Amino acid sequence: MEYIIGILVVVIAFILVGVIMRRKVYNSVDKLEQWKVQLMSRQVADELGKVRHLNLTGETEELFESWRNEWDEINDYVFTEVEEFLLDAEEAAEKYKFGKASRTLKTVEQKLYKVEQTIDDIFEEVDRLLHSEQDSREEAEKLHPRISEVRKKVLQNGYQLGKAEVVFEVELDDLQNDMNQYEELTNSGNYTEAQELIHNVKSRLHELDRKVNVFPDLYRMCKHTLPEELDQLQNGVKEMKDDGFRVQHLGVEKEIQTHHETLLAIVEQLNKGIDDGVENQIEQIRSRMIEIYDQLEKEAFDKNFVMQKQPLLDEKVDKANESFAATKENVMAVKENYHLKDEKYEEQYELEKNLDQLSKKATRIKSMITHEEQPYSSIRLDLEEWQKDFEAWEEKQSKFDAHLYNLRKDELNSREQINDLKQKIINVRQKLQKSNLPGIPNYIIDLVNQARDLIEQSNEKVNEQPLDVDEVSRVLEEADKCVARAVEQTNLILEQAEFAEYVIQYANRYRSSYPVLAAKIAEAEDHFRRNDYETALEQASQALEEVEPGALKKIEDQLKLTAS
Amino acid sequence: MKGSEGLIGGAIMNRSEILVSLDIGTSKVKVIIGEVSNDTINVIGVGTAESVGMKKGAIVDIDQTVHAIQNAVDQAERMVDMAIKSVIVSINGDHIALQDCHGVVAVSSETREINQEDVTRVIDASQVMQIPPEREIVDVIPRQFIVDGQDEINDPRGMIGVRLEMQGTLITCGKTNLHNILKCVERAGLQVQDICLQPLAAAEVALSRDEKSLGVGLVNIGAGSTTVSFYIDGNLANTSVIPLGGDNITKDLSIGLKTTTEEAEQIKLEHGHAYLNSAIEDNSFNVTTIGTDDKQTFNQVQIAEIIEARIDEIFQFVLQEFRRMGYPTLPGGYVLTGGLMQVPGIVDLARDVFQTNVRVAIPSHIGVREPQFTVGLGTLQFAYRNAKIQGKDYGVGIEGHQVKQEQTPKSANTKDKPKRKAKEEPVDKEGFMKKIQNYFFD
Repeated sequence: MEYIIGILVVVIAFILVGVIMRRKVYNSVDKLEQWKVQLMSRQVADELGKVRHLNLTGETEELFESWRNEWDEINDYVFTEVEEFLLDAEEAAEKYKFGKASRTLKTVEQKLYKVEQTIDDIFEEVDRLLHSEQDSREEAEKLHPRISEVRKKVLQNGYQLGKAEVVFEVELDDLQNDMNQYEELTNSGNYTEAQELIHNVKSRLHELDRKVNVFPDLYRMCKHTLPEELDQLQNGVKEMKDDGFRVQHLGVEKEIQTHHETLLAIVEQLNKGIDDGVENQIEQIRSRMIEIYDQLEKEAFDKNFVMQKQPLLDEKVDKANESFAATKENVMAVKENYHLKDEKYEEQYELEKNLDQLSKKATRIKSMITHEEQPYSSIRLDLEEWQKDFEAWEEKQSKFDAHLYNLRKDELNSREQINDLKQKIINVRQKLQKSNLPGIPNYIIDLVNQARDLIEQSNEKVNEQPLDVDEVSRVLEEADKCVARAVEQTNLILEQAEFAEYVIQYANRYRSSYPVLAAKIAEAEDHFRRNDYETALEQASQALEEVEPGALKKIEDQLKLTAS
Repeated sequence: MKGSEGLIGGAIMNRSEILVSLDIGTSKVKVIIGEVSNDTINVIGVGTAESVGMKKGAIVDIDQTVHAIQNAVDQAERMVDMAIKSVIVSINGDHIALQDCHGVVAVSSETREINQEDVTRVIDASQVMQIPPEREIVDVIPRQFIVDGQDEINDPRGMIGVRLEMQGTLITCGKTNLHNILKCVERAGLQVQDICLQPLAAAEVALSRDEKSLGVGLVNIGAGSTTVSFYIDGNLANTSVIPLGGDNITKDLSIGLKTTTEEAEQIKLEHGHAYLNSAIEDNSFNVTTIGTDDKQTFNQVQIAEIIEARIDEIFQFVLQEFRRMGYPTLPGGYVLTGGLMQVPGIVDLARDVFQTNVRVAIPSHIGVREPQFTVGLGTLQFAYRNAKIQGKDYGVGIEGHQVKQEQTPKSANTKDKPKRKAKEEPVDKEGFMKKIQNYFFD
């Protein structure tokens, strides 16, 4: 039983597997069948029919033939073969020969795939052919008027194109020929070749058109504009040379000559109808000209600068020499009284050397200016450098001076003060001399003499070596006090004398009527004449007050009034 | 203020004699009020004012001069608190001429005693002589009176005699110049009391009696002009004016230092020195260059060179002038005065140039101890002394002043007498007019 069941199960399984496998094969066959029908139904014939409109000669014919052959082959052989294979596969499936069935199906699938590929290729090719035909036709139609247009332009602007005109005409003829060739190609069905030709013609025409447009300008530029500008430049350079500017070092003339030659070469090139790199060259010449102009301008500026600064050179050197001489003197004076460090001597030596160098350099610059060799631009550089050096020197020198001054500060201050005091004492003497006093009291004279002695003493102290600053300032202080006292006393005495005189004069009016007063005033006058102004003032005022109380006050007011 | 305490000069002169002198100089107008007591003069008031209306000692602008006179008078009035009515004017210039004159009269009174009237008549008689129409007699200075042959009489009044003679100096001057000065004084509201010659006035202060009799040259250097006069035998023999003075120095300085005239004047006064050898180099000062703010420094030596050159030139002219007058040597030497004497060193220079004894005369009166007041003060002294001899009495106005009539008709007749004169004038004016009438219709 078990065996039976086992066998049964096996049989049933066998049958089931067979059924399933068969079904699978059938399905595949159906699918492929369907694919085949689909392929067969594609409008290959119609597509090929489109080509029939074209000239079926030459290339087109060949292509058409090949495509038709291919299709015919597919139609005639491949599809039947496929049908057979499919039937074979079905049969094999029924006989449970699944291996063979699947192999057959695979072959069918491959074949169908290939067929599809071919059909697609044919479609594509046809399409391309049709399009190329159409495009070239359209292009050709457009090109014709353009060619004539360009030709017209060439004819019209012939004189502007110079010798290149012939070249262009030849080119145009060439193009025209190509167009004719295109027609021929089209007629002979070589559409692809025709298209290539058209493309070629188009780009050449485009180039030609561009040249026709550009050439007049280039010609004008190279034949007239630039040569004229170059000539102008040359004239300018000549003028500058005549005016004394130094421009030979720039080699402008030679360069201009080269540019002229280049321009000739360019024209030659243009005559051949070629304008490659011309723009570039022109641009180069242009920029060189601008550069040259800049250089010339700079030279002019530099000349101006140099000429302006030239007179300053001497002036500065002279001034520096002078101030340095003063410095040297100062050093000598300082050396006597103070200890100077070695490095300061070195500094002085350095300054002297530098000044010498500066003055030599100034002479060299001046000789450069007079000898017409160096361009002003390089002289200017030298001059500017010189100025910088000079400023540096000045700074150093003033520092050195300041150092010396600081050393001598006390001494110089003392000297200044002595001069000041001297002037003061002179003023006092002047004042006394001008005061119109009948005489100067002895004590004032003594005071003035004392002050003068003290000033002289301090002067001696200042000149002593080595200098004793403390001692000098002590004597100076004393002298200062004495001078101040002299000034004060002098002013006082002058005031007193003036007042006394005025009081006596005022009292004069009472002399005739008051004998007592007259006597006293006479006495006061006597004192006045004997330089005793104080007593004179006292006596006169006393006498006056007795006669006219308040008179003194009145006189004082009056004096103030006249003083103001 | 004017008239608050009293009136000076003119008619009201009761307290004592107070005289006012007016010296119109080129740089300054100077007024001095002096009181005469015991034959000495006490200065009681002084006024000075810058004068711009004069050039080289002559008036070139009346208005300006009037203004300066008024300023100076105001100043002096303020000092004494009184109003000035009339003044003694000093005049100077190259238009002045001196002439010897001689008059003889018989003593008129029965007692044969010579009185004031005789003196007046003899002075009148001396003036009877031909003078050109453009000139006018200013004054007669009696040199000596001779009574019946006895000469060298100073004052014949009270003497007894039959024949009275007078020898003197007649002073004449150009009409226009005099007119200008008097016009200015009157326009300033003042009355002209007397006119006095500057050299005479200056000599009064500057010269001693001995010098005058020995023979002395008086050199008065003012701002605009230099007056030289020669005295011999106690009298003025000749006078002359050189149109150079202190102003020329100022101008030289302003050119030399390139500065303004004002600043140059200031420098001259403050730092000027006339003698190069004694100028002090330390005496330095700053000067503003004209037209800029730049200051330059100069010292006394530098300006002394300029000043010395100019003063030397003036002295050379002085020498030349004395030679021209016929006095190549002066026994009494030279006496210098005038405003320029304020410049130190001038005496040393003068000694160098003149090669003889030279001194500077400066008034010693309190209040006017400056050489510029020599003339003003001298005017007072001279006028006072001269009036005594001539019998003029300022105390009672200007009556009896014969000479005055010669040159005052114009001013006396002018109707525009200053107002303030009016109230004290009537009595005085009548007498004055009568005199004029007498003079013209005699």
